[in-house]
Amino acid sequence: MKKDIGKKVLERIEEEQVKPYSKWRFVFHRSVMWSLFATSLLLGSLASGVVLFRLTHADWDLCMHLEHSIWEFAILTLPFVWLIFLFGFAGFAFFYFRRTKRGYRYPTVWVIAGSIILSLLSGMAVYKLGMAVKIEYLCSNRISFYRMIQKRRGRFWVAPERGFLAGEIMQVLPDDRFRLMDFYGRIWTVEAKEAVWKGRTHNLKNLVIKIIGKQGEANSFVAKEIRPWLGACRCSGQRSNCPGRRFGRHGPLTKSSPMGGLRKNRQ
Amino acid sequence: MFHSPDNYQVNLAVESYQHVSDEKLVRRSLEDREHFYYLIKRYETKLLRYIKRTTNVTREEAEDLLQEIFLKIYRHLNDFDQELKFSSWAYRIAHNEVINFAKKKKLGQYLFRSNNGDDGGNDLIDRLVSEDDVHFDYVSMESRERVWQALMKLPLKYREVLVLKFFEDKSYREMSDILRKPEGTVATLVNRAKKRFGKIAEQFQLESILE
Repeated sequence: MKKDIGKKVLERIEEEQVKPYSKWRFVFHRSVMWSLFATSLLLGSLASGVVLFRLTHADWDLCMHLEHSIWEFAILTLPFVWLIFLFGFAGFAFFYFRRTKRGYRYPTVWVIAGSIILSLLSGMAVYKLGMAVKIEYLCSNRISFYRMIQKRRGRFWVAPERGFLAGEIMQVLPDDRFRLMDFYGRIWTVEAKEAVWKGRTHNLKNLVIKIIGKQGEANSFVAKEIRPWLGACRCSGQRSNCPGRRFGRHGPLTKSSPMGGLRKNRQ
Repeated sequence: MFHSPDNYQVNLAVESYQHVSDEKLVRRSLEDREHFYYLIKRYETKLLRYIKRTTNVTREEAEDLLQEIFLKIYRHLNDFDQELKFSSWAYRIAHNEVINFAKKKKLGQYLFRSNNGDDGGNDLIDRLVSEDDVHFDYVSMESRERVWQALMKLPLKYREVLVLKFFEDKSYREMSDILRKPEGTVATLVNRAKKRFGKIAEQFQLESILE
């Protein structure tokens, strides 16, 4: 005998006291999905802001003069961590967008590409507003792994015999000179009378810079061009901001330290 | 207590509700659950056939599953999206429940089990042909069985799109709403399913039917 499904269902509704879920439950669920989508986009834009910042401050014009190949330079310069974040958050954005009311109707490629483009566009705002620098330095201060990557990037710029030097200004001296501690902890006296400054030229103490010039005698260096390290960065008295601080002012470098190999080459 | 009318009364009532739209019935069901009965009457045959075509479960199991589907539809009535067809929304819930059911009961056992005919001789016709179908009217019972067996050889995702497209006559937009996939993806799935089915059809000597 054929069952009356309708009757059975209504009986079960009554017996089990089944009630339709409140419409607010669904509104809440959809709001959560949109919020997670927006959060993913926001985090993606922060990541893309740092990507843009890092790419625009990578000194591509000098890469041929540094002692590494262009590929090695590119690999160490490209902000892979942030690119992974950017694509990761685009993936999350896609995941949550698909769970919105109409999200399933849009092709996967469009949604992912759209998320990346939106992240890049808002990332430009993040970069322009100077938030990317703050994120960069926040990560350098708080995340030891990130700091380690930063130090590796610093290796490019400590090659005084080739005319490149980088570090933190420790003391401003008379006659356009200053004392600088490089990323190995060595102290240099830098002559900047003829130097072209790019970026800020005031409040120089604790400013981390890159210098193009010529090595002089006994730890002196004549600067021709001075660039800010990762934009107009200042350590603001937080010593850990300067990668060189990690090695101590006079601490000897060992082969096992991240920069030990380079120092050995230099010597 | 729900007072079930007798068959004659049911037919009369269902007929009187024939011109009431699904959307109105949904609204009325939210106010008075007894109206939900007429929504069930409207969709039980279609959804039952869909379950049987996609899962190869016995009639009893299909009816149990159908009850669960209607209970879920009832619970989610407030989530019904007025911009969609109610049928697409109901099929979507059925699709989700079929997948959950198959996962719970071990996919292979339920989806590839041979049909022993314990549901009665008309079950195969019921699975493959509905009053709306024109595709298989001229096909012999033996060939229908072979079509059915070939269909059962396909993975669920391919079988489901073929069932929706060629047995339930759903448009790509409707299939997109049911499966929650973009139309382009649905079209790709249908093409792949057709190719896979074509290969299997060769084994079952179904080329003449499919031409």
